Amino acid sequence: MIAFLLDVAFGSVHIPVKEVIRVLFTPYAGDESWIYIIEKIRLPKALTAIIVGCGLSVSGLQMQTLFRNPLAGPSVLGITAGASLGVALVMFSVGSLTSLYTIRELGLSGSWLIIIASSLGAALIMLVIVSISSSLKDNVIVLIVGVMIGNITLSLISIWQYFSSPELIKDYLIWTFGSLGGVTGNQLLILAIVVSLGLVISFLSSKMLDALLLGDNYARSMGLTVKRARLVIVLSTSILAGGITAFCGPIAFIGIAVPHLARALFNTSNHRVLIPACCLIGTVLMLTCDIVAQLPGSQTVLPINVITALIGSPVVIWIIAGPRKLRGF
Amino acid sequence: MENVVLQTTGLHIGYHAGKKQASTIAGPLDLSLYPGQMICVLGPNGCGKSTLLRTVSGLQQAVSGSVVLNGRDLSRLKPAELARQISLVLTDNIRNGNLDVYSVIALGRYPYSGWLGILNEADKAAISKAVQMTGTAEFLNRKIDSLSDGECQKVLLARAMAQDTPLIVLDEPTAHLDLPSRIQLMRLLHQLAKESPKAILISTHELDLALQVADQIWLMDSNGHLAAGLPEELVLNGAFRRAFDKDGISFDAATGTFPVHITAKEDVAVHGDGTAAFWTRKALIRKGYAISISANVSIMITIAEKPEATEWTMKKTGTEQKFYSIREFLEAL
Repeated sequence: MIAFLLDVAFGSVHIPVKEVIRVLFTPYAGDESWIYIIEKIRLPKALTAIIVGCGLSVSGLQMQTLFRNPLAGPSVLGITAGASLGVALVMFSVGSLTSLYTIRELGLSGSWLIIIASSLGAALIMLVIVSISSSLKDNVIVLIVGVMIGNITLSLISIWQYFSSPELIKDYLIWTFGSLGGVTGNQLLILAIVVSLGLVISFLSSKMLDALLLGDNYARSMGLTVKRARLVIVLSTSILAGGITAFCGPIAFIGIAVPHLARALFNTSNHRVLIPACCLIGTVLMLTCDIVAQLPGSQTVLPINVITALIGSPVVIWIIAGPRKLRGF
Repeated sequence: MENVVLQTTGLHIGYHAGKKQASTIAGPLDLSLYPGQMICVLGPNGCGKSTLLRTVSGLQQAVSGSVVLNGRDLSRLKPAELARQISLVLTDNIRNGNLDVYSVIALGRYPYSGWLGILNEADKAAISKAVQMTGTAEFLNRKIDSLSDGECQKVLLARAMAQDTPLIVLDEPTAHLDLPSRIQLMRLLHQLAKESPKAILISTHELDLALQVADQIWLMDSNGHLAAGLPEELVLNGAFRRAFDKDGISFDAATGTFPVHITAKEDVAVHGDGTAAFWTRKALIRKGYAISISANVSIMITIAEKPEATEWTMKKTGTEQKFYSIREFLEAL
């Protein structure tokens, strides 16, 4: 909540926190330009940060459980790359630019189209990795395969980029930096609906996720239909990661770092607790990243991906080299 | 006995390599398992012990034949129904995901809990009963990856107990355990089978322990045959010798062990009873002598356990010597 207020308060135009509270909770008060900034820019951006924080964290948690791998996450195993491919394909077939501005021009149906394409792209990559990983026992190999598939996907996008005009490439690059700011109005509504759907499915599958912690064989012996459970988890993960990537670009590290923070802070493995915990920590972390990205007091805004990587990478290092030795996961 | 827990008829086990091809490892198997019975599956590596356990517990498809659990065909049971018939302890690694001991045991209630997995009073009662029976109470709050192998197996057994099924199947539960833990676990399993109507099926390499605790042994050999019977029967009718006969290693029915020392230098006669005599014979075998009962040998040892000290008397080519420790007389030999 505090993070939310601060996030709304900080920006390239300075607005005092008190004023922010007044604008948010009392109708028609204060400076008109401030109201405009808060309602049209800051508030949607903060809401987007919350949605992204929840969605990516939970999708990361699900992937770590599904692959029984502490380094799994949407950005690591190429899921966001798959989503990017989906987005790129839509753009290509529409014959337009791959930037948020064109998404906006496509209108409501266009937004849905992109979310579906992006989720399908994510699901495609996930299914490939799931089918490969079921025949591989070694976590590290699964990880390598995931990274390689991500690379293949990215190179497909690169080929397409190569034949595009410089303006297109610049737009695409800006998109890959990740952005919370471009989502407003109807898009925000669509994103909220899609991510909520993903979160509900994921919360309902928390019992299945618990069983999968012991591995496929134990899960099966406890009465879980493993194939169906996998499909459900792949579905909700793809919706979450795909939807968010479509609108905000491939935002890295939140998906891999937050589940570990949640497990460490709440000291549990129960997904009924971990999923809300991931939402909470993901929200706080994402809002914090957004505040830092705006460099409070300055006029500059850094790309969000720069900040998430700055926070996320140390967490990854902590996982691999840290005292808790989570390598054996 | 009509209330059979597990019955297989004409069961062939093996792997489905290609789409249609199936390679059979063992069969046909006609086996039955009754409540309160503990059965050990023994056999050399690669004879299909794990495959048999995986097949009867529904993790793997049978090549042909049927498996019937409490009167119902295994292949017709839904996963959720099967989970109420069989619980498993596998060799799969579970040390991950920040799991604590209680959570692992509580997962045993999975087939009974609601759609969100919230435990009710009956579930909690079943969990604490399983904890009490397996003696896992003292490490309930620890993380699973901080446990020793022996403790970990107990926790997995507690999880299987909490699942409250008429049949518990354990795949090599004693592997990687030290000797005390192995004995403890086997004793625990034996007790469970005796005190509850549960049937327990385990695969193991612990021949010695299996002979002591099993109500019945299913002995598999490398050619896909399975001999079922009382442990003692299988020893006496030579089934053990046949199953393990490989590369000059043979089962010695007289001692119930596989002798490590094969070639004997010389025959020695040992007279005497009691512990000292038993260990004297062992020492001689280790040193490469064969124990003989005939009087026609060049070396004869008489052991006398006296209150003040044990006395070894060795007669060798006419001379007679007295010793007061095994080491002394072994050196003199």
